[in-house]
Amino acid sequence: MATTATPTLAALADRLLDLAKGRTEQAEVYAYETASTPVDFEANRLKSLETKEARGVALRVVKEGRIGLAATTKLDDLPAIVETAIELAAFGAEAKFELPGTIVPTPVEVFATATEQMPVEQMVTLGQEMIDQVRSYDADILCEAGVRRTLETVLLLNSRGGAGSYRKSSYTLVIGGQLIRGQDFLSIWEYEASCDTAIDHRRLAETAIRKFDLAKTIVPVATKRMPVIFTPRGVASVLLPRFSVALSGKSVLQGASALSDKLGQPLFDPRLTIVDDSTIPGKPAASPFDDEGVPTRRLPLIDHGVVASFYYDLQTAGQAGTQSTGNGYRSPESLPSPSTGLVVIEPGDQPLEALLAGVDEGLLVESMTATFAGNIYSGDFSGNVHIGFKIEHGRLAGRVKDTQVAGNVFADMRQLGGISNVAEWVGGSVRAPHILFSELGVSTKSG
Amino acid sequence: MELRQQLEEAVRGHNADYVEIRIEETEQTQLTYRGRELEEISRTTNLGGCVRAAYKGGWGFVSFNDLGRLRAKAELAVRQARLVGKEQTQLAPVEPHVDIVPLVLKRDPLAVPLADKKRLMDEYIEVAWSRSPKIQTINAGYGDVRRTVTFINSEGTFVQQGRARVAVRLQVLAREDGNVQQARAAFSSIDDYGAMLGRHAEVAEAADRAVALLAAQPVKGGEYTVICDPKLAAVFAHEAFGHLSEADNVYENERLREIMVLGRRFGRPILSIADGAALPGQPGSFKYDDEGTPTRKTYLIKEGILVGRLHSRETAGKLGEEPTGNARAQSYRYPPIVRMTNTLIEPSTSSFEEMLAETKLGIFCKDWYGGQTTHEQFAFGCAEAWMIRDGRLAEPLRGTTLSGNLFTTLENIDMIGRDFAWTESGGTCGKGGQSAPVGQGSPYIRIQKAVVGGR
Repeated sequence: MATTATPTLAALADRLLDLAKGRTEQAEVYAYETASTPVDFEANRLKSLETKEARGVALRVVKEGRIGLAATTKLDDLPAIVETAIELAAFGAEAKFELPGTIVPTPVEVFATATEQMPVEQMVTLGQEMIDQVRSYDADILCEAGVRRTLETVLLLNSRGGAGSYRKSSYTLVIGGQLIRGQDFLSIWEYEASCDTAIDHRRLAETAIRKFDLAKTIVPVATKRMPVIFTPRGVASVLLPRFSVALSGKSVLQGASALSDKLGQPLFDPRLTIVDDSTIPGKPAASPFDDEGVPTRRLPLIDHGVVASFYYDLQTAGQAGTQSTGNGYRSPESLPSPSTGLVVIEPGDQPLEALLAGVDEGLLVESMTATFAGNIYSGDFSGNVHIGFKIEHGRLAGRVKDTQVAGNVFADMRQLGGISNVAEWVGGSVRAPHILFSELGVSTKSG
Repeated sequence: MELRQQLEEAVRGHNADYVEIRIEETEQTQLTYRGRELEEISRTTNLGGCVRAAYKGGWGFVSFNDLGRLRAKAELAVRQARLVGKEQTQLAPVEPHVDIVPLVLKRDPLAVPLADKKRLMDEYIEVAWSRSPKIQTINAGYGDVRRTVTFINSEGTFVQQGRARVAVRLQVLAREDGNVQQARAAFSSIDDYGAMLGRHAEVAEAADRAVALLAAQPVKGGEYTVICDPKLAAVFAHEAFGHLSEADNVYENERLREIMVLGRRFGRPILSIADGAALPGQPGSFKYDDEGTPTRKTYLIKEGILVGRLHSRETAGKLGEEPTGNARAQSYRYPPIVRMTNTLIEPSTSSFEEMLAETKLGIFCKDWYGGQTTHEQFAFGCAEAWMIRDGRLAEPLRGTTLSGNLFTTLENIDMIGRDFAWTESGGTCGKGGQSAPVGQGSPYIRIQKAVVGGR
């Protein structure tokens, strides 16, 4: 362990590319450096301060037409990384792409100096204030909170001349807690993420309080088919993943997608529009280019109910005979793969109040557990309602328990009961409205 | 020993109640298939470390890839802990010990040529494809990892442990018109590449199951008597009870402590649940946890009664109980948290046939897709199911979700089988943003009045 000066990320990337360039047809260095400062509160008080630093590189090569990948955080032996990547390429998939010769970033701001400069003491204060606010509503709530900052530098360099880098800051607030009464456990969480620090922590705590308040009354629900409204969070966590899987260029190429032969078909309610758009500034899921150097763009996936586009990275686009849509994302240890970035579900035309008013007996679902069950490729969803409310005669009557909801996004979203006219951010990666299903299967304990 | 000296110099003499350092080196190989194609082959090497310090009950944590200036990193962690700590550090005592735990492998996956690994996977994939023209695609992966963790603390403990894992998984998708169904096969071992070989029949069986599921109907939701196979029952134990027995949920939560009071009855006398990394050969098996505490087997429920819980040194210290060796960190990037290791339901006396025969109308559920808990309510997904009518297996059903309430469901386990089985591939448990391999074992169990999701 030498204590010599650590080389910069750019210098490391340059050297690694130089070592790989002459020996391969194509080479690409993905280098990253992150520094996270999570301030976490447990059981109503500050529990820990942390500093997490990481840096590493991944080298993707094309040798004799095939792809190899080596990644490391052990940066003292760059030649070994090149040897490994070349060795692996002998077994790798056939490359169907050319790395971009230039990287032209989409102008999207994802770094805020305010986040970088926020003092840890202030982060501690914000967390404590959120907890105090929730506990002033009900001191029986055992609160947890987080104020977290991550600064990251991403650097891409390839043998065809492409070069680009950006810095990103993310700032996340979490407030929630657990309220136990008798044998009833209620956990409510609110979170918001942004590149800058302009998150209203009081409003976030207030939202948590409102939900605790609504959830205190527990009401019975019947086993039958009934209207169900998914809140933006419910939409993002339960419905959207089914679309993401089905619209991935990779699923389509495999024939695993239920939508693979449906491009251009009006399969969904005409009010439904889903757009992949990582060009929205200030959100941690946004970026100027993807992890292969392809600029991000606004890409309608479902356009007024019509299956409008699939999303691709370079390799799957090459296999499908199309262009990358700028959706090549990766973890440092893996090859890029098609993935959605920031996703927006466009709002509809009805106020939430109107959607609610039309429901005589139904559910409002905020979160579900165990939605992994069933087959995600088939569009099926089912799970246990975690936070959900019974709607009686257009009003929220109270929380439901021991209740399951099941449906299929492809069958049940052909015709929707309605979409609310306001879309809300869910964390830093999805913006979605409330969506009303006219009828879904609801089952519950009969006892 | 150069590393040990450096660590000793870095960990000692701080103005803190406790300091520990972990250094971790990993090497892993991953092969990922889509369809017949080896889509991705990668090798990753990782070197990194972390320092954790405690001062008056507050914690500081610093993680890094650059191992230079360790002493300065320890000082930063101490400064952070001192900013937080205002009460009292209470760590249950653990006798300091020095131990090097060598990695003993039957057949070292890292020594097997890549070409052999690829050939094996190619064979399995071909077997699955050959079963039916309805096979739509196959997602498959091979992975091996070797990890060396060096741990030192300010109390004199120095432990170096090697761990390994090799795993093969195949997910087979079958399709008929718009109907897509899946089934999987998964094998793993912590010490033997040889365990991945010769599993062709199981792969074929997974492919056949995916095809068979095409004809299965969705279940009608409601409350049923459910028989779970050992794989699913083990997930049930993990989700329905295991998480709630993790003491970090309890130690600062007065209400929960009242509910989880030792001696309380949670199930019938046939029910015993235990956990422990000292149980050998499973994905969650190791000699010392990530706080250097020796591992053991801990009974959580014995004959229906709550008798224990899982601890870190801090939760044990605060509750005045003994540490159990359940503090685990996903990697050097994370501080250890209280987690399950290998969790099991102990066998009882029934047979599967008896359970069936005594079920007039119910559902037999097999294998799993995952599970989740909100402590009181839990849910887990099963991969395959059949209706039970008049004591016999009837029509096949698609996979579904089972859920229930902790307090009523454990009590509703009315039959437990005599034939115990570990789930070979175990599972991966997520908690607090960290994932950890866990072992899971159980016999068949029968649960009355389980809520089954359906349309």
